[in-house]
Amino acid sequence: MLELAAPQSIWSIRFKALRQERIAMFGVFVLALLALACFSVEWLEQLCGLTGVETDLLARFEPPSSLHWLGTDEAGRDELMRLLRGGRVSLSIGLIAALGSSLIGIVIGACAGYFRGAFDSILMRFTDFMMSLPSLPLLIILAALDLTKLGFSADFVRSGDAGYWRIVVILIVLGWTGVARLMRASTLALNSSDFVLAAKAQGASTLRILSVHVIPNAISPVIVATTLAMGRIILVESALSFLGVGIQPPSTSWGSILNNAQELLISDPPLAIYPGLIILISVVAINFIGDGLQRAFDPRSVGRN
Amino acid sequence: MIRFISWRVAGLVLVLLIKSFVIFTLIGLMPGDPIDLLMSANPNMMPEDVAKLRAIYGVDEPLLSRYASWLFNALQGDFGFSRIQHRPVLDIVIPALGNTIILTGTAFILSTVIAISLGTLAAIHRGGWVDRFISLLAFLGISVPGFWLGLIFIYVFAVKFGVLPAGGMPRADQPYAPVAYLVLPCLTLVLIEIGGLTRYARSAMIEVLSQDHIRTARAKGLSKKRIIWKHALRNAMIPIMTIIALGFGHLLSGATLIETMFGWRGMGRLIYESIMGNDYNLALVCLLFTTTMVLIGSLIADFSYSLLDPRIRLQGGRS
Amino acid sequence: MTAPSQTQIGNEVLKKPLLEIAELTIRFSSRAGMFKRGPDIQAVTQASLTIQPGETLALVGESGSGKTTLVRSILDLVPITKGVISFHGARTDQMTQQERREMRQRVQFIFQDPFGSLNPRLTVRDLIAEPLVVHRMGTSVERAARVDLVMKQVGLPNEYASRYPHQFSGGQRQRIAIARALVSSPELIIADEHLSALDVSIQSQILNLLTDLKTQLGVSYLLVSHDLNAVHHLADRVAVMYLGRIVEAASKDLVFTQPSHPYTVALMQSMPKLGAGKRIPGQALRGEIPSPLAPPSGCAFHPRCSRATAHCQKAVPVLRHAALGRQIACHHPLEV
Repeated sequence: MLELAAPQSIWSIRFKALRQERIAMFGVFVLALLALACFSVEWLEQLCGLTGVETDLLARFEPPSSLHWLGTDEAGRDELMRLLRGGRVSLSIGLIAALGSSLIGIVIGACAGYFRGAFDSILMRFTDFMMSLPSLPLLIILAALDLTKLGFSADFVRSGDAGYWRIVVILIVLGWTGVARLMRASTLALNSSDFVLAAKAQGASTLRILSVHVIPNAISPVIVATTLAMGRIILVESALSFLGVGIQPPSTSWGSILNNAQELLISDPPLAIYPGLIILISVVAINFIGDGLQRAFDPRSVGRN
Repeated sequence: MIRFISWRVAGLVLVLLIKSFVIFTLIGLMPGDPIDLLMSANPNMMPEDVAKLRAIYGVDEPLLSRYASWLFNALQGDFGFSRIQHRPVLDIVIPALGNTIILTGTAFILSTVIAISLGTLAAIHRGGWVDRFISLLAFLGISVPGFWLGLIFIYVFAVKFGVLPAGGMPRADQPYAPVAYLVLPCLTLVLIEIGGLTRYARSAMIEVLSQDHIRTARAKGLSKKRIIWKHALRNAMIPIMTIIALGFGHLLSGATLIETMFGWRGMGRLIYESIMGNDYNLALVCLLFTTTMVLIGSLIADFSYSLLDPRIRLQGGRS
Repeated sequence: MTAPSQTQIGNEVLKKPLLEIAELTIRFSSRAGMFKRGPDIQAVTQASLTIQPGETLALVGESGSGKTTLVRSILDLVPITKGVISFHGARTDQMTQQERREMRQRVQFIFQDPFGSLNPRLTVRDLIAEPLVVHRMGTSVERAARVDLVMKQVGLPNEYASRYPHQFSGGQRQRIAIARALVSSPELIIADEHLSALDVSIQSQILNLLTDLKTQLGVSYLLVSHDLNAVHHLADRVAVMYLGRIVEAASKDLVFTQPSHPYTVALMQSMPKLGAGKRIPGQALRGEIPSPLAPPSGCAFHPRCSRATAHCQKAVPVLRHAALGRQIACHHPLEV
């Protein structure tokens, strides 16, 4: 019946379905453009002869012009370049933290769902515990911790890198629970499927069963959740940086640009609008993609004969 | 039923104990300890004095014994003094709790009511322009940075048009009515919550409306309105209660951000300031109170589940 | 120790059986809640079977008779409560890791649902090659050649190898499953209702395929089925199960033409064309198979048996040997 049909894996079917989700593809386009701009900011700065880093106190609060498309900020830096630099930090934190927390969630969820029993109960109690902690207060504490008390050297703690990775780590530590639950639910459903039983009958190792049979079939909801998590993380990071506990000077992120926003509202209101606007645009794009993935990955779209 | 409640309450106490220990440990990892700060205020102190003070305040003792003595005092109602405000911690926390309840309570009621109404409306007119409009608004709601919305409101209403205060608590020397101080923070908090709640309410209502017994009721010819209100809403209450319970904790997190931004003297702002100011006793108690509120919220939600779904009740209330 | 095995009683050649199941009992506890244990279900009770090399044994019974549970326990997919399974005379509970692995290579399983038993993310080639990979048989070149060979044997064109299960029909998927079962050159293939999910027309195709493979390769089958047509086609010997017990076991001809246990008789009544020879006085099957949670006392079949007496209600009949290599568990079997 399908004698002449080409090989067509489930991934390719879903990918094709995704390409037909126009809103999602629009989101991909916007996000790609934004990411491209942000990650090539230094090259762009050279090209235009602008800087988002060096201050020029004689050129503070300049309105938009042909040189400074969005004007300059309170220290004379080009606003657009500053936003792009901030984007480099915010977008990368979003991506890394989302991937990291999903990885942990996948392992924990798959193990809980596959091995079951007491192991599962303990893991789930732990997950519930983590989920019930109020996130922002906890994030604030974790961000304010004195790392030297944990054994890190004082020099390392003060470096910009430490600040960056601290935020990534605490976002991962508090973010894995959603994916763990999803993964566990999928794994539990797959435990009784015949192809997993067939692999057990064959005597396949647990590692092989999990990596070849269980995880690839359980991972679709996780992919959607990871995408949406990226948007959520960008919002959380910007809130933390706004409060002054996230990314701190001299590094910039979109939220930290808004750190003194309430003063800016009086001196130069647009400067308080731009960073939030760009956050909104990125998160909307990411959510478009996530929603599109959800529709494309709907298992009902791969029908049985 | 009694067994159910007491089982859950016992669980709550256990979780609280664990959480208080975890938070205690975290606070201990914050920069400096009380003696360091005393030292920085008083550069003339000698190392021997410092060592003596350390011994007196028990700062050098192992974690567990410090925790034990804190717990011992706490159970007697003594939560220590705030380092910054030089007052007993409870004196500071209780009024702040009240302020937070005013803010989050109002936001909670408003956002729940609006979200359920909008979600139901969207579900009923599924696919139509009403649905698409509401879905779009909800979508924007979950994508927008909350504090940025607050900033925009402050700009429009306070800076540009001056009709509302930019923040702070009700004061006698300002021309604004007391309730005016509540408007912007509450509005911002509601708008942050409402996106997610509406989407969830919408999908819950869609699922309920497509259930068989609803179709039967429609076939029987009951008027649409009666169907909605009587059957569908009641069935949708369970998933809705879930999201309300989860939203409660989320609301408290949001309150931390909003209160700090608008200078509303509630628990959220207190948490922020106490952590920033290394005020250990205060931070610890604030976090505990917040956590307890979330736990009580989920306990109430569980309790209402069993009221709503007789199946859970009949099984003896296994959660 | 165990009951005298088939080979000693009958006038058969003294060969060691390929697979021997002795007094197998499998009991589950059902779960009523998170901590409470529900009542025990005894899915299999004191079942004994043997399969000789090259022989096809069919395990027959209604759904709920415990057949699937029994065969799944052979490969340890279901834990055993009591009893012994021996492969080539070696007890499975005393096997070393290595011996266990070898047994899993030499005993292959075909599941009922042709779609559910194939991982949708793997290509046909990968699916069929899985046993070779797990048991580390051959180099990748040798494996590819072996996969091509078994695909030819089951009638799957070579171009199918890079496609995915969802691109095929039920019958083709079952061929893939059969190919997978053949690829490690097994001695015994356990097929659990592997025809029931297929259309009737496809069933006969697969049936013929299995018959051909049996003649060509000399592999033993343990066929689990409630389809007497397929059983008649393929089996050498038939064992009948009721509510977890073997009630009758004999050669195919005996079972179909001269059934002795009332249950077997009633089953054969539904297939008059196959029962050549004397017509047995009518005994239609009344009622439904009882739930394993509440088995009847004494002989489990007595509520539905037209030959039941008071004795049947009290005493459980034991599986004993009768003439012509038959085993029967009944207080009042039909005389042959």
